[in-house]
Amino acid sequence: MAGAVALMAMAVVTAVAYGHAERLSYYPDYKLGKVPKYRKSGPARVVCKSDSGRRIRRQLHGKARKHNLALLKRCRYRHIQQAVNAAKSGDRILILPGVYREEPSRRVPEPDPKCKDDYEEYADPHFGAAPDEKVRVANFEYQRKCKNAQNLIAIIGDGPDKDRRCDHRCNLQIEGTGTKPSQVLIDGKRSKLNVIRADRADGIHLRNFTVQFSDFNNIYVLETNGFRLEKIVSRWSREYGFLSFTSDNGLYRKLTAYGSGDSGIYPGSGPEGHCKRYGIEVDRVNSYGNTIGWSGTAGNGIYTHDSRFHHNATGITTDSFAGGHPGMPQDCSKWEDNRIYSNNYDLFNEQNDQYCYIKNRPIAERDPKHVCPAFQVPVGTGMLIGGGNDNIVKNNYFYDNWRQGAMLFWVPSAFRGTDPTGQSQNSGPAYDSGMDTSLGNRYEGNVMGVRPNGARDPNGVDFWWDEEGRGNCWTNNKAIAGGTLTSNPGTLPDCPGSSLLTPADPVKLAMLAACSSWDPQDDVNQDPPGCDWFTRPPEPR
Amino acid sequence: MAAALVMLALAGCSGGDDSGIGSGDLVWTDDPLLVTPPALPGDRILAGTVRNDSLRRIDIVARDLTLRTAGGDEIPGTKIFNQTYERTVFPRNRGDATPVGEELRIGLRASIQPGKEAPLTVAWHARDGRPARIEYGFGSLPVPRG
Repeated sequence: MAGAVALMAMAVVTAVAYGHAERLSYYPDYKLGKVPKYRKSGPARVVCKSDSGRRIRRQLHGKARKHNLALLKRCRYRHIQQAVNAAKSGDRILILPGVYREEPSRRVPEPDPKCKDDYEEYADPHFGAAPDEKVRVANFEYQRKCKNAQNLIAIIGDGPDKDRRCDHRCNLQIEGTGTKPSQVLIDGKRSKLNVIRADRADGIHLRNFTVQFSDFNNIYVLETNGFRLEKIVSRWSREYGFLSFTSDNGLYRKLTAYGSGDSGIYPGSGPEGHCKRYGIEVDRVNSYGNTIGWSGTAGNGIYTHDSRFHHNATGITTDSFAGGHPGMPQDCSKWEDNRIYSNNYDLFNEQNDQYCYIKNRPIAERDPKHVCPAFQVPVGTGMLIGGGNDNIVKNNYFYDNWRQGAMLFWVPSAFRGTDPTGQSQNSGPAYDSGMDTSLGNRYEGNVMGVRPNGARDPNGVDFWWDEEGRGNCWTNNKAIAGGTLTSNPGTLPDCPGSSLLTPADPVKLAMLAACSSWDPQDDVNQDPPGCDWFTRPPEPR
Repeated sequence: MAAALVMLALAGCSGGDDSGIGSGDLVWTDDPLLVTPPALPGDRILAGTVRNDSLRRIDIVARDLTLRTAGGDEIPGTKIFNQTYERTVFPRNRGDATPVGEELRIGLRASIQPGKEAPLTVAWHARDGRPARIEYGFGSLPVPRG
């Protein structure tokens, strides 16, 4: 993803509405924040529905039932947003079993006329503005004053000051009180771009519920210093299951994400530690049945471990594809001890094309559980690094990805466009050369084409590289006993890799270029000639 | 796996009209590559760089380029001002139009100043015919014979 952020921007001149533009966003000062700890005590506000008591008695037993019935007596809110509005920094918001549709939020129009002046205008191609065109994007004041225009539940931490730091409703802990995430369901019903938005909400901790049916992000964390997402099931978001952007000191833990049109989890514009630290940890995530399991344009400084990315069209992507993402070019993430397998979800076939790409099909006529891909990816790929530097891919299992286990290719710097926030390395000799990506990526100790139980389950090829870059290397990766690793090119550099910058294979580039023209609304480019990404490869034997 | 590909570096793009001559202000800067992808042996990709040899800016929408056979028949194909993979930041599952600025960034359209260059990649199914030229409205680029 790209990058992922969800508001509606309107071109002033053309009056065309575009999705996927967000206000200019800035990294917080990581030294001022930390990952919040889970708190079992402290001030709490209790939210319940009229049938929570019945659900508690039916679904819970023993101590959990007793605890929840006691909480039920303290319930003062019928909607989560009401509790958030009443909350003070450090509060816990306890959500009793039930289905939360947040009807008052749904009634708020978008755009909200009360905030008709709370937009910023950008004459910048970063927002897709053409020459002589300005694009309007909702600003922070829009989110603060009209919090439910775009968001079913909004936790807006900052005030009207200019510091971009949390002033109130900081360190909130919002958690379901059931014994399973399924017992508290927050249902967006595609009525809002975001089901939950945490915006400059430093210290936010979301926990133990299920969230579904956003029109863009089920859970969205923006410009937030310190966040923790734990024991949450996020499903059937039109675009992203969990998304963080220009945020730091974060933890994604024990999450399940499926059915996203873009990606299950998206830690995009990640922390700029430049290999000195990891600012976001992804731990024991299970992401499947999405177009992409893990994606992040400028997915920097993220440590992902002990997770599973499987049965997506592509398991993991991180890249420098898109404009407007602070932190370009992508660098310094690490994937270790993960299982990346069976990413062959066939989302680009004729039948799905026909369903998904009827233009502007009314919401009421859409099956919200139907996954329509937001972007093109090479079906059958475990992991794709497109324009990344100094990443470490270590001790993972890659198997049963029918096209390739891990793919690495260059993205020319000019394609990144501009970063009007000035938080990208979009200048200097390396940038000017166009070849400032695919530098220093290291693939080490991965087990390729073998399941953890030792059974053979091959990838199409284990490694694919366009051959561009410097210092990219592959070492101590393992095939099944008696077998050999497969790769394209046939020989890969051992670590530390070459100190010389090599150009890409022009033939590979040509094939990649053809895939750029994918257009779901065009008969030819639904499946563009010259590109084989959109046909699921046969299972390798 | 370049060795496994049928790759032809084509010499000389200055043959005769429908058999290889272009017209107008865009020219190949060098011989474009004609590629048969190993996974798609029935497809052809032509990749090269074009230069604006005129004294005015040329604005072109990639999808408006037309591949034509020597006999004048149109061949469906993909066309993009790009040299490798790139994609938009705007999700394509929403039915929204891609903004012009974004189309420029990712090569769905090009704005080429006088004397400047842009990468161009086109691809087609060989079963649909063999293009002799790429028309861009007020001129054409030759497609060399492979």
